[in-house]
Amino acid sequence: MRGKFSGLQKDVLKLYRDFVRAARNKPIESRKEMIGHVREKFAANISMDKKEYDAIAFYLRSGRRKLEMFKKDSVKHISKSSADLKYEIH
Amino acid sequence: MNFKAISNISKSAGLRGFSTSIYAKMAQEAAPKATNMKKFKIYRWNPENPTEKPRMQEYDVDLTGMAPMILDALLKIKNEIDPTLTFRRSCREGICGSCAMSVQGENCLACTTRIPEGASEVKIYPLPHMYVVKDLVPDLTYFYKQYASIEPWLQRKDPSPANTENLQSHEDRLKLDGLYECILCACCSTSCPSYWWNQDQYLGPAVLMQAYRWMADTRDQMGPERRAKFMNHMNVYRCHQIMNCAKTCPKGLNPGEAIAKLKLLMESD
Repeated sequence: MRGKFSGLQKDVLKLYRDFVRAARNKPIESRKEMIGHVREKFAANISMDKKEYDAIAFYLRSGRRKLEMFKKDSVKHISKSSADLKYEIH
Repeated sequence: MNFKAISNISKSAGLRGFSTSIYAKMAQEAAPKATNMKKFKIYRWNPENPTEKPRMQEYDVDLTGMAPMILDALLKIKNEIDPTLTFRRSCREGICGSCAMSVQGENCLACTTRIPEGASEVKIYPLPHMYVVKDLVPDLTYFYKQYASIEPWLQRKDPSPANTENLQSHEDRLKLDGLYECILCACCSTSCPSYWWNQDQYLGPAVLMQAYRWMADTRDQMGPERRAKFMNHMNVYRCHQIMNCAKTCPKGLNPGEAIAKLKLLMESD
């Protein structure tokens, strides 16, 4: 029987899970906001067609790069600037 | 003095080879061609709309009075036609390696490559088989990670002398010629089919040449340990002497030869 998710979908879910796991090593007071930020980023593209392989692979790559930054001990908090809620880290 | 010599030559060539009527004819033909247009086809891809497929965009550039290199044309396009065109550049003299890209199917530095005169259009792509960050900007993260993995710095077992640098004889220094000049532009690695197919494990010509550069350095004492890391099928032995690296290197180096010497050292260990 074929699995419920495609390989690419599993990769996306794994990336999300890795972010949430990485957030467990962050100070408890900023955890909620950091996970909220991650959720928001994933939610922004939730309606993407699952056949947009190239685009999803691109988001995965940039997501993995952001995960590396996210995991660093020096990253302790993510806050939004109130002036521009649509900010991006590239 | 020089100017005089040149004018003398052209005068004598004129007397010998050409009649004045030909000059007149050439001038006539040249007159209506006052604009010297060249078509550039450039790879475009914008990460802000990743669902949009990459495309080739055409630009017509007037080359009259312009500097002769590909980079000059790119800068002209960016300044005058399309400010959204994205590429890396820095030194404009072939020493930083930022502007490595594929022009007419060959990897080169845009700043040291002339705009081809014969071709009706010039095709410019980012470095092949690399992920693209935007337009002509390739993602070199993994390439740099591989470079870091060979620990490209001097490593010694004996402590360095207290009050001097690690000195080296003139002959020993000469052994590094043809190796140290590498600017890590990634032209060679991205022209190597072995690197295309096995980028995750094969280190590629640029990184291997730097690995050999530290083994060839007489001040470095960790050569055997450096080589021990390479004792597997992938890191070094994916090099099959295709030699695209030496053909494409904008600095005229020969990574293929360095890898051959590296293999020889590994055999003698």
